[in-house]
Amino acid sequence: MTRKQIQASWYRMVAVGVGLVLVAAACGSDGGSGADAGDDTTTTTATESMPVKGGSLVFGAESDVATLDVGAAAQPSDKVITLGLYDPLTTYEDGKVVPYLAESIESDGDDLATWTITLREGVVFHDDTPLNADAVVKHFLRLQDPVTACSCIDVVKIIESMETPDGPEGLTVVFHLATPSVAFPDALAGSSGYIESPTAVAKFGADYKNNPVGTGPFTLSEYVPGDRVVLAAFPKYWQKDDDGIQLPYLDKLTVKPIADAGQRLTALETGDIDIFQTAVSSDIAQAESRGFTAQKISGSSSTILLFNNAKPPFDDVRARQAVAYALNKDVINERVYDGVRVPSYSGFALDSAFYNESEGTPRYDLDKAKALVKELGGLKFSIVCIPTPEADQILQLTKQMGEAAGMEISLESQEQGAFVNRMFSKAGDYEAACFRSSHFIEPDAIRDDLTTGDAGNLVFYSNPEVDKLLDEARQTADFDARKAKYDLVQQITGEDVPLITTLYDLFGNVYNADVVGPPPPGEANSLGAIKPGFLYRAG
Amino acid sequence: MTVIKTLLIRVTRLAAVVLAVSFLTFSLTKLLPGDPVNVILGPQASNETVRAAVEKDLGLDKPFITQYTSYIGGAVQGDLGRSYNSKFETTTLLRQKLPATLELMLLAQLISILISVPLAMYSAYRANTRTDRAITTTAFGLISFPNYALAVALVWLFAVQLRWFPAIGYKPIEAGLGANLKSMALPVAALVAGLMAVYTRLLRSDLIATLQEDFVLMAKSKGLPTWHILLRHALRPSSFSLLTVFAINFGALIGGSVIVEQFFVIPGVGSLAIESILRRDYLVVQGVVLLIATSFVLVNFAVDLLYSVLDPRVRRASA
Amino acid sequence: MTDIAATALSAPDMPSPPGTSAPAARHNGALGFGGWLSAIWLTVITTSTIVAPWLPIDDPRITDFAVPNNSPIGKAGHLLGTDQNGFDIFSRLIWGGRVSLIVAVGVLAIGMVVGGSIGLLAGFWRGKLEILLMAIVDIFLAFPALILLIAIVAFLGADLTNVVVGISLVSIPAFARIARATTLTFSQREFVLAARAAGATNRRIILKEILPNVLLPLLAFGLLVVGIAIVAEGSLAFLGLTSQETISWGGMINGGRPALQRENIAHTAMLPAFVMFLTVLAVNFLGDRFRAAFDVRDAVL
Repeated sequence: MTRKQIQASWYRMVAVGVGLVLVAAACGSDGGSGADAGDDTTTTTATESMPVKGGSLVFGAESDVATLDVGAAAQPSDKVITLGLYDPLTTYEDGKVVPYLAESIESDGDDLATWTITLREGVVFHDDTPLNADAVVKHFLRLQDPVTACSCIDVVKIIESMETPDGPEGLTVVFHLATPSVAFPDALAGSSGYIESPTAVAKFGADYKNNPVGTGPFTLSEYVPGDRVVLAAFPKYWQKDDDGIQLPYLDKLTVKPIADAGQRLTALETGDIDIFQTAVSSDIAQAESRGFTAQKISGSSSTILLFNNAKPPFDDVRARQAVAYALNKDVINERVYDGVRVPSYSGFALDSAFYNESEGTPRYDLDKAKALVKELGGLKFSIVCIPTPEADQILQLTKQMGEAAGMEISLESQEQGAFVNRMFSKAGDYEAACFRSSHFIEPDAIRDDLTTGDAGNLVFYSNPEVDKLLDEARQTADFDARKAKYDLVQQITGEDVPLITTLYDLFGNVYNADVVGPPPPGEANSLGAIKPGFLYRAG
Repeated sequence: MTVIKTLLIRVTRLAAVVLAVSFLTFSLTKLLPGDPVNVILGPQASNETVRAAVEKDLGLDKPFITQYTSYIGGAVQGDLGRSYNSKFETTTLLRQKLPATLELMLLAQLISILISVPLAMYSAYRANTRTDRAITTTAFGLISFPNYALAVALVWLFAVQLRWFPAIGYKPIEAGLGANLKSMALPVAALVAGLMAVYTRLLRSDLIATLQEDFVLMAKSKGLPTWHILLRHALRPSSFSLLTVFAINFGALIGGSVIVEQFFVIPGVGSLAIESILRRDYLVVQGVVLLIATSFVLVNFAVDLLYSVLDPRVRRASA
Repeated sequence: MTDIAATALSAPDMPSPPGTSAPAARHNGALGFGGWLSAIWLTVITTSTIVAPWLPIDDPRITDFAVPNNSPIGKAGHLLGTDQNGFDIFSRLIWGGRVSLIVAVGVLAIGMVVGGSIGLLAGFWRGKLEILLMAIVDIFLAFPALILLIAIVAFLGADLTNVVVGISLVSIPAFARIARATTLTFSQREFVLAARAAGATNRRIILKEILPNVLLPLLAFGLLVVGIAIVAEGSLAFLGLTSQETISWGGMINGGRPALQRENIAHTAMLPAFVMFLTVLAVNFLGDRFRAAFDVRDAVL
């Protein structure tokens, strides 16, 4: 999990409707896990249907779009909109970062602190402003401005200065980073890499949020908060598909927030929507039993239990280990998710090249848990969560499992505002808390979560050795050398248990195959967030 | 002259109540724990520079009284500020959410009255018979049915079992009147049950009381049929309590249908209020409370006026 | 709170002639058949919730791993089946009654003491105090009750104490209005004037003459509020605004909803809804008989 992800996850939780809704999939944030490309993806229909141009589709989103501004779109359902409006500078293909809106991105040889981006030629924003170096520079300056309140501020603050050797009208930008980072291109694959029109920002000011202008395949045609976002094809879009068909395929894409997952299924049946995403296992099964197609995606996010490592009782590693030993993830999987999920014992996605299930990571062992609790002379703590049916089920089980090991656990439910308040207050006003996080392809993503004193380090974990390893790994270009460092990090944190990853999420793109062609692979790390430019009507 | 003076005094009092409500809301949002900036910033909340910038941007760095006076200054001119989160004008949000709530409320009120008036008249006409008792007992039962429990039952029966109506969701009128009414059927029913029961009981008992009055007895002695007396003579003088409660509900239902809106996922004012509270989007909360308080106060005012118009005795008394 | 609750709280002293009372009662003495049924039901609920820890029922917080979640009525030793957490529904219904009972008693006590005192003082002393107190009451009445309640609980935290305090707070204005109106009528009565003429102190008049007369109508109104309070607590639980530790009927309804809508499993949501309905009905019925007996509305007039 990374700080970006944490944000994404908190935002997701915040954005979810009140108690009515399951916290659906984790955030599709920046950075990447190639989950959608992995073997977890199953498509139950023949995929050999040819994309056609034209028509319109309706997408059922989990919640209303949080914001249409760049840099904050965290949820997969938001991504359908933001990936329609914007293009990221880089993206993931087969687990590797490749240029996207950029023509190329290269470091200055071994100097990982200097990166040069060359932009594609002839790309224009929806308002006809040309994409050039000036737009890119203004974009990052804007994200760095505290007033923008971009959740990405820690990601972009690594940029110390920018140069435009060919002038503002040119296509080249040279980035000078504060610290060398091999992960820089990865940072541009997410929403911090979405470039917006500087003309529109100057024109709309604070209201830009509701008047977004990007280079993406769609323009914003209508936005009614809580009801719908309507996107219309941008005729001057720069991209064509492999057969030379001008993208996007669709003329119009409507995104409708329907908070209740069961209701989304009903809406699919009545034809009110054509496709939706869900994290509720039983809904995926229900949809399939009613003849719909589900594209399943797993492995790149998980439910987690955070410990406040700075405060009693969890400043003692034995207390954290005791909980980890007491937790039977298989039982949670069985009782809450009909057994379709996969227990998680690593901070990385299952199919990440850096995935390493450390031996030291505690697995269910009631005797060890009991022994540790005894050694501690009892263990009493509270878990705070945003109340959702899913969280309630997990919590009730966690409480029983802990109590079986002799712990005393109280459950606190806290509505979103108060939860956020407690989590993000300086000292972390909690003992243990429910969260959800994503796991990305780029391992540097976990740096902020575990680095001493980082704003993203919500668990207040501090281990100088881990700090050092994470810093070094970021500056190591060689894969094997890098992996060795991350393996070590996983081994140390496996034993330290700063937090517990519970189960990998599983969610699905559920759609009516008569109407919708198979959804294109999403932006690699965004948990199957669909690239709307490649969506098409079937037949 | 005196009428105008009385009116002026009353209007001043109404304005004072609304002002006090807004001040109370404003104070509550400052006094109670919870900070909108934390919600906006998430993990960045501990970043002092970002925090300061956002607070300044939202005007939250100014002293309380300055914030309040500038809010009221704007409110008088119809500017209720912008949502901290979506940056939409509060007035825009209210305008977007009001139609669903108004439709829900108006339909529920209309149907309740249409059902309860004839029912109450029949019940009063047949007072203390088996039918009357069946009607009043049912009404009593419906009053005791918490509307979310009723909603559960309605969804189970009409959406899950019979599949007549959608379980949840709201279709605006633009989506077609049929679809709109279909989506409104269950939420309206959940409200109607309680409302109609209250109205029926009120009107029935008032009618029975009126039927004991001299002028009714006189009409009876003239040999006029009872239903004629009920309709022509008794209904109007018996409708005061009904009218009062009916009117008050116009104000009360804007905020009172929160549960039904939440249950059926109707994008109305009640849902807006809850979402804004949970996100600490205080200016929107303020806007909603102001809207509800104003309508409550205005409705009460209207009821008073209506009284004096309908009943000359009240007019004399207040003059 | 429901719309009806809003009505009741915003217009408690509205004129309403006799005859509103529950009909079946008239034929069967003071309580009537329905009254007796209500009393029995409430006694059963109250007793069982009080002795719940000693009853031979399952622990309401322990999942029965031997049966699946949401197992049906009568399955494998669970009289009323299990819920979405595999908890025994029968046991949770009893424990849930506890929360309703606490809320009912708490709100009734706080409402009567605080609201009653405000109304009594305002009605007795009149003048500036009355104007001030009643102005405050008016402001609170104009405040949307449920939204205020949600705000209080959301901000202060969702434990049971805050829920009770929150519901009490929004019901105090109504209590105050009733108490004031009743006090106004009684302060003009002969026995009060007589006591005053006999040189009784204000304190004595309030405590000995007025309070006893105000108390019963207030209690009768209080029963109406009890019904509303139980529903209101359920509303909060229903919105997910009460603690996960709190076993409450509203919370059970909320928890059973997904199964109802998705998998057509009805009993997890319907059973608590039904029990809650019966309880509120019984409370309302008794309150109605009580009010008819003391003619509260007439007294208020």
